[in-house]
Amino acid sequence: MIERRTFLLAGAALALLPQKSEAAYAVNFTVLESPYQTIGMLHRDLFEFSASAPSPVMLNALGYLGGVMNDPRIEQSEKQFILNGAAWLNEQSETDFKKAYYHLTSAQRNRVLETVIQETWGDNWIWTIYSYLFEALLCDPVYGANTHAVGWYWLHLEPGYPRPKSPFTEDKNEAI
Amino acid sequence: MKQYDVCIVGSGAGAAPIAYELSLAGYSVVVLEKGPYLTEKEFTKDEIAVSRRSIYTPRLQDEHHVVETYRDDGSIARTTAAESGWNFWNGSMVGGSTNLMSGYFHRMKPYDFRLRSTFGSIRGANVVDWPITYEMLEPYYAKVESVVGVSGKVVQHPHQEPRSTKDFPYPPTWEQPISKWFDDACRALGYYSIPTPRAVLPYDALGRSGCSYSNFCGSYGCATGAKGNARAALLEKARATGNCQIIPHAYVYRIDADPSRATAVHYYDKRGDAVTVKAAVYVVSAQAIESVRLLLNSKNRHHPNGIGNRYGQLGKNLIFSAGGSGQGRFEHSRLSEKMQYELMTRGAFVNRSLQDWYVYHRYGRPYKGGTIDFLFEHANPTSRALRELYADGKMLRGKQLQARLEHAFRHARIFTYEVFNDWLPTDNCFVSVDESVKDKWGVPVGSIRLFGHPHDIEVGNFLADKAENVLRQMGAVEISRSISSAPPPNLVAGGCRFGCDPKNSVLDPNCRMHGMDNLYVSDASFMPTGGSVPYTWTIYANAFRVAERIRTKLKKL
Ligand SMILES: Cc1cc2nc3c(=O)[nH]c(=O)nc-3n(C[C@H](O)[C@H](O)[C@H](O)COP(=O)(O)OP(=O)(O)OC[C@H]3O[C@@H](n4cnc5c(N)ncnc54)[C@H](O)[C@@H]3O)c2cc1C
Ligand code: SF4
Repeated sequence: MIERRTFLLAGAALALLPQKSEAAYAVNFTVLESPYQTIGMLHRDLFEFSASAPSPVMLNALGYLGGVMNDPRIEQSEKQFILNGAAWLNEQSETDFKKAYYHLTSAQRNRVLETVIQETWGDNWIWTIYSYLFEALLCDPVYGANTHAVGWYWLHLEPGYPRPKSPFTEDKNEAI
Repeated sequence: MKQYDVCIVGSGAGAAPIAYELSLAGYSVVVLEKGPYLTEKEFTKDEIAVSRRSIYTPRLQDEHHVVETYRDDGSIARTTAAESGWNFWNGSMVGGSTNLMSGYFHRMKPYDFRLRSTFGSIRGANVVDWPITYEMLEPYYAKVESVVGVSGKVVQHPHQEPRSTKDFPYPPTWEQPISKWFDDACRALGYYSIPTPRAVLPYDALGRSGCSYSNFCGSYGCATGAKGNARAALLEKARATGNCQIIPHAYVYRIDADPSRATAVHYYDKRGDAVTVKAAVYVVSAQAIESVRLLLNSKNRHHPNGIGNRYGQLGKNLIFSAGGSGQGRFEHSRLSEKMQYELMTRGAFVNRSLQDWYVYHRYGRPYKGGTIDFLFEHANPTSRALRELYADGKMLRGKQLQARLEHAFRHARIFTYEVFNDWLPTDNCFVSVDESVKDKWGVPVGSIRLFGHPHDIEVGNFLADKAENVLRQMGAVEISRSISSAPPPNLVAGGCRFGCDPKNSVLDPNCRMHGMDNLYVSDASFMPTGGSVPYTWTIYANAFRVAERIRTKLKKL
């Protein structure tokens, strides 16, 4: 038993290297597309760059969210809520400062966030954005996020083994 | 059309022992399983797929349940699970939910079989004695230990159940250093620390590999075969006899029956084509809710209210595991360097339980209590991170959030407990069918009416008080609990209770349907009460018992 354990721990560091993905989950797109310019800016505000934590850009959190929007396992209502929330955030920004969220200064964005977070929809929506941001931070890099396992390194996490060789697809199980 | 000796619907804990025993005895068996045939090589520790997107259960858009709850004024709130996201599916694959279990294995105790006569009735609850005794089931509990593989160590404590063997056939799995802290705390408090039996092999045995301590056990498929899931432990061996055919992607939608016999089973195959199977004996093992649904949906002119529902008992007395969970946090800042290292050891199991209050006395009378299992917070990182998002009710952002995550993951660890006590069966908790809501095959879905008896919460809180004593003694901080009547969908039973009287039970003491010569139900649904333990060991044991009865019957044919 002990031998097995020693072997496992010794193998752990090596196994942290990203595996090659057979299929993509995260998607590439231009950040100017709606709602990604808004959510891209929000990502920065929610999880700002710091000396130790990886940034949302480094994690490819936005590309990952694009994958979420194409994911058949995510309810259509959830996807619509993600879009609606971005629109409502911009509405609040226009009301308060006559500009879209991504054109505001950092202090103004903070004020808008403080307002929307008081609303039930705002709290739910930001929680939803966080849940996919955390997935991008902590998923296996085969998903095209958590690039080079930076999220795992940051939080000293060792994944479980065996790791996935590719992102799941809806019909993978169907084939078996 | 091939005629089988036995046709089994479903392939989980209630199904596999029957397939195993009867195919080993030379009978031809067909197992119809709705989900895919996944094996060790398909299982990975992919949190996104397994826990965030629930790939082992149907998509709620395609298949769901109607869920009914009681409002405070007694009226009923109805929602479809597709609308609410309330997911009552468990493992949908060959081997069923056992693929995903954590393998905490406890036997029920002798007084669980005579709850009514030991503790009396409770107002508003349909508590009954079982039609069999612990002594009748004991040999099958022992059989599960050796055939499925249960590891552990027997220690004497006031509620230790009688055993026909001295100890478990496999020693405990690799234990987390915190288990020693737990033992010390219990010693100081005068509690009996029990090594939790596990359906996990500590080393290679039974033709399967030993545990690799993957750190992602519950909710995940086992990539080594160490977990005693129904497929690895039993169905693969049944298949190897050449007598057992397992058909995945076979969704059974109807059973045909004449007044006293089942005559055929119909399923949709992977392409959506309807297929019919005939056998001498039929066994329904689709898990509590789905077995009831199938029997209700199989109504015909001989059985106008569903097969087995002559006295309106089918679907009644649905139960879950009552109780809940709680947690405390261990902070590095309060620990020596050695203890910090011990705390962060990953992969090993805590393997500790308390049963000191399986029966306790209060207000001068005995109460049925329960079991408390101790473990670390699940390793799923995304869920762990999300739990750190709020502090004092306020959502954190930016550097504050990052600092909290760093602290939570690198400098602390959450230790949890789970309370298992009886979910009292009542008239208000049952399964029926909602004809107005259909699944993707056009079949009416199951409707689940939920109700937790207030007594369950009282007992749950009593046990949580004791668990918290241990956490405090161990030095945990931020201790909190969640004891409620929210049902854990993975620990569900009842709906086809067995008993001697057809007027208040669906199955006879051998789990054969009252009035039906060749139709058995073997899964969690037979249980009239659940004991204060997780159910799977009992489901396995009972299925071995039922297999013997079916074998005797087949011999006579
Ligand atoms: C995450 C998790 C952790 C758990 N941990 C523990 C634990 O630690 N200890 C413990 O004792 N228990 C645990 N359990 C519970 C345990 O898995 C169940 O109690 C047990 O598997 C129930 O057995 P069953 O035979 O009733 O149903 P299942 O094992 O679920 O089998 C039912 C099977 O029937 C199939 N089916 C359903 N409908 C149809 C149909 N119409 N046609 C064909 N097939 C159908 C399903 O796909 C499924 O494969 C856990 C469960 C889960 C999900
Ligand atoms: S290898 Fe061990 S820890 Fe991992 S899933 Fe199997 S039984 Fe659980």
